[in-house]
Amino acid sequence: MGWQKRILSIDLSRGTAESEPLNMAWADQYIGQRGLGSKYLYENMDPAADAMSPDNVLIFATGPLTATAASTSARYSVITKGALTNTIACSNSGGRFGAELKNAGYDLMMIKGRAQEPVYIHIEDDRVEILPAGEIWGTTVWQTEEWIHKRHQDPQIRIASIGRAGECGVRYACVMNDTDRAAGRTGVGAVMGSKHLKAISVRGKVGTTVAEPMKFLEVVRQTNEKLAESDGRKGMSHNGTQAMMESMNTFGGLPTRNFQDVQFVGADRIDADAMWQRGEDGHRNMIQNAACFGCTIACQRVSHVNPNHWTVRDRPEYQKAGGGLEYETAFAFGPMVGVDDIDALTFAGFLTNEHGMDPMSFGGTLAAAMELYEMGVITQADTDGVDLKFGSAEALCTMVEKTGKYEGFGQILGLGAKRLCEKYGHPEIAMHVKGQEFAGYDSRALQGMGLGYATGNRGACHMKHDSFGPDTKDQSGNGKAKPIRNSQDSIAVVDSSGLCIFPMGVGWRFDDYRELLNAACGRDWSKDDLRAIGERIWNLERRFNELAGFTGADDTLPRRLLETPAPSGTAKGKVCELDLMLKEYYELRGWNEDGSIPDSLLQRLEI
Amino acid sequence: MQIQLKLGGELKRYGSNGLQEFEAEGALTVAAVLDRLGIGTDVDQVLVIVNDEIVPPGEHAGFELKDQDRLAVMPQLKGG
Repeated sequence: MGWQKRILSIDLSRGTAESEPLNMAWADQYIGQRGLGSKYLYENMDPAADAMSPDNVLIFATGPLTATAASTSARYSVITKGALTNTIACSNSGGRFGAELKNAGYDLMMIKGRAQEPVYIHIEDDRVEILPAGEIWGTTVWQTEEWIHKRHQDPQIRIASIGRAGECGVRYACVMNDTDRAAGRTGVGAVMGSKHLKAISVRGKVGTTVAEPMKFLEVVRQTNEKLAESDGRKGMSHNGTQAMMESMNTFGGLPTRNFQDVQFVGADRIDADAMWQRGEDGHRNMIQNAACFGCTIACQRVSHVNPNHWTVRDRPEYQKAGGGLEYETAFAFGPMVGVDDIDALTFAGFLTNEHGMDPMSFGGTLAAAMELYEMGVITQADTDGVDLKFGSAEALCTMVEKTGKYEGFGQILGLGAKRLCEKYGHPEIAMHVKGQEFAGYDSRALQGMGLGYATGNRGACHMKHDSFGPDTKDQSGNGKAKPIRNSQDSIAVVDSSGLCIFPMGVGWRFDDYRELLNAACGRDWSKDDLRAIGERIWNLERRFNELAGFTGADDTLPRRLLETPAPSGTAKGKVCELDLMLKEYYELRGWNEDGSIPDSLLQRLEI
Repeated sequence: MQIQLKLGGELKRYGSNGLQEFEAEGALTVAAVLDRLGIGTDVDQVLVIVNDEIVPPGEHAGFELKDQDRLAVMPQLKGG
């Protein structure tokens, strides 16, 4: 109940697909989705294995609340060893695919090995087939979805797939689902491509049940009411995450031109208001908002590029509605590379969806390349003749397409910022943690964010901790370790539930997730019980990374954030006080001074 | 006394176009401005910045604004 109590185990090398009972002891210890998927990964592969080898394991995991009546119950996670980071990778997505997989009767799908030839997995409840995908190898995500729908003559099939970027090993390739939803970070799409797995298509008719239906529905009613009444939710529905653009720019935490600045003059031309504003020709970027399965927030943007804009004027296939700008995409294609052309940003967003790439990592990589270009390290001889200066919308759009198609300099950009800068002998220019590029928050202005980035189990990530409250009350490193540790553990639970993290900021508290989980799973977890589970998940991920070769020395930030003061904004003159925070954080975690996990803690957590 | 007021995100509904001159006679605190705008109910949900300095919720009542100060009131940062 809540769980389907069944997993699907697929071996692509052997061409086998078998259903197995879910390990319920692990489910009680790790709940589902991120936690349970990480446990299955930990127990089924050598963390030291090459991420792009057949020895890596690729897991698609739902949570006990996925596909239930709870708001935001769309979530599933892709868990593997990341191609970008070589850390444990857990990338979370919404849309419809996760709910369909759960409704087909599976909590989790574990994929091992590598197919001889390109294949896709087709699931209709108990019927699981591994089918040839030679015909669609080399096509885009959008073409793949269209082909599978036609082939099976069922528009309700839900599909997760990779584009050319994933096939070719672009290190930050995504797994895309439902056209424009993405398990976006850490290169899970490149791992899928390395297995010669083009897509997974699912049609689920089994359905999902909960342990205590009446109690569950009452909690759903109460929690939905909280979201309905919340001003924060209303703002999120109207502006989506793009509301952050204006706030971060005013605050002075908006990474600009590869973190050389923290405020961007053109921010008001690409923010939420700009998306809603009608131009002189009557065109408006924003069409409407949209929701993932079961969501009552609907933060998704549906947008279109002005048909007269140079990017699409002669390309009618892009003159349509599609997934619009969310904050992280807008930051990465905007301030990070100095571009303030909203149509160019929207078009570039369409391309990353179409080819299946993480816009945040792409933007971080392009920004590093632009800085190297302005330093004279890279020239037009390297960039296929493209003038790769900051602020060039043409360079942005050209390079997104080249990378998505794995052509020319796009192959170099496909390495990610760390590898690209190492290749050109300037590793200090790459803005990353553990190989992953940053989100749109500068840790000189948001100190706790810096600690969260540095200790992130999947590298620089803003979604696995929450420090905005403490960070906006005090811009020093004091007292940041505890809220970061606590939020990392709480969010590990939310990410394991099958629900989205967004309700947390706009009306819900941790207890709301707890009540939904208890009613769905028939458990009586207290807050402390769940936080202990969160701690176990965090440490399991950390342990995987230790076994993969990571140490406390990897819990760091680029020199620019530690040594170069913020040039403007509320944090003008400040650097990130990481050393201060990290020492306190290790103590709170009960880790050794060098950041390693003591055996006694592993035993207490039963890892 | 005149201050430059900027309202961000959904808070723009509390003032015209989000950006405005705000005039007052005599002393004016951040809390008084929030109160006059009708924002004062949940100060943890807003982020107040005066001349590039954060004013935490606990200091709203005691923070006196000066002529030509730049006051920004934004929705609390949430991420995403």
